Amino acid sequence: MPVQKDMSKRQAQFDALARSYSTDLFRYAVWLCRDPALAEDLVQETFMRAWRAIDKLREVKAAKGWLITILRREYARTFERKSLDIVEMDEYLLADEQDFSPAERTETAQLRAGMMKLDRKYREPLLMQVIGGFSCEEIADLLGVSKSAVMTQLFRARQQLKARLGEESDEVLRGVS
Amino acid sequence: MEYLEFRRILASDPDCRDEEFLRMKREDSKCAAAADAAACFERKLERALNVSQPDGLVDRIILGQTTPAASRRRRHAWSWAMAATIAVGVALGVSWRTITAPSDLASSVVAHLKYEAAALMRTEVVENNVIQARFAEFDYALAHQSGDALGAVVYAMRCPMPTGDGVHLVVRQPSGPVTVFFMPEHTMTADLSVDKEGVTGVVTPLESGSLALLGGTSDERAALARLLRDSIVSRSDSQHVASL
Repeated sequence: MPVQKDMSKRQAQFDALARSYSTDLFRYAVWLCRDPALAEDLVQETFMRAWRAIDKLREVKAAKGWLITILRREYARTFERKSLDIVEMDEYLLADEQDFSPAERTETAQLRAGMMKLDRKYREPLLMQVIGGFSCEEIADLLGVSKSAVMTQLFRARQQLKARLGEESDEVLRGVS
Repeated sequence: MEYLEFRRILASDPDCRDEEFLRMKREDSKCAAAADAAACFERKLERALNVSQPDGLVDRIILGQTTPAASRRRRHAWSWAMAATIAVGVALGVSWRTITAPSDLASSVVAHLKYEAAALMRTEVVENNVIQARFAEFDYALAHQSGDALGAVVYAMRCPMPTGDGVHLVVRQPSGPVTVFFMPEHTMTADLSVDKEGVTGVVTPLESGSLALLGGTSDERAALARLLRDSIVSRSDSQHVASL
């Protein structure tokens, strides 16, 4: 009986993780590997590994970072060398745009095209910040780099995306970063 | 903290909670304006990254936890087969842009038409000089007063198009309104048929840019396309011709 109780507790914990974080994890994976089909596989594999290691998760507030770490390892292990930079994103990307004005559609398309071209070292910290909601310190921990390196990468990522929109660039600040 | 330092932090950590940063954002008008612009960009960025997760993903994750690995791996095989197919396409010279652009473009022009559906109901005819002014914004002109030859143009606006801005016209035809998008920065090599959400039409290449024609009959669209293809000229060319 105690074994069954433990199993149902683990199952409930896993279900809660899947329901709470699958959306953010999928978004992260899409922009990491730039391929929705691979992203879905990546998320499923991530949760399978999370299930096997769920006893190692001590704090609920660390769950998202823990899942992203698993996802990044899984990406490096399985997909990174095979992944192509060529994907069919339309059906996923356009699905969200029904209520967009033409200007919003154009800006969104330009930013998405910019994200597709952004170097991974700039793209990933930005994903962690915008989708993951992590602080610069947390991103530095997850990526194993210094906080100042993270801030520079985030600055340059935004600079490149702003240039796509033709917005005022922070060129004047380049030297400062 | 100086203004440049404030901007540097703003561009790398817009939600920074540092007290000095927050004080400058609150009290310095230049910093406040920069923070407003940054917040606007962040909203656009979040919107762009916000893709929908596939239907049923959570259920598949939970189900997958009790399903043998073999059945989960089928998607991998399919994905790699697809990737290989696309790779062959690339090897044959088909770029990602040309693979994805057509459906994207068709969806964009149809969504644009629907977003400004009220333009289709207009009846007041737009003066030729207004139409010319719209084209002039892109350094183009309609030759030979073809603004009149077009018929009743009831809407002429500068609008955002999938690649840069362009001119949005609505032209009344016997069967009803035809929407025309002149996209000076969108280049293509062949006609693209549009048949989406009850809207039919065509996007056709011009010598410079391209033209979308939506609604009406195919004959009406073809006639308008012919007329506009002959009429839209760069202003420098038209001035050169006029001076001869």
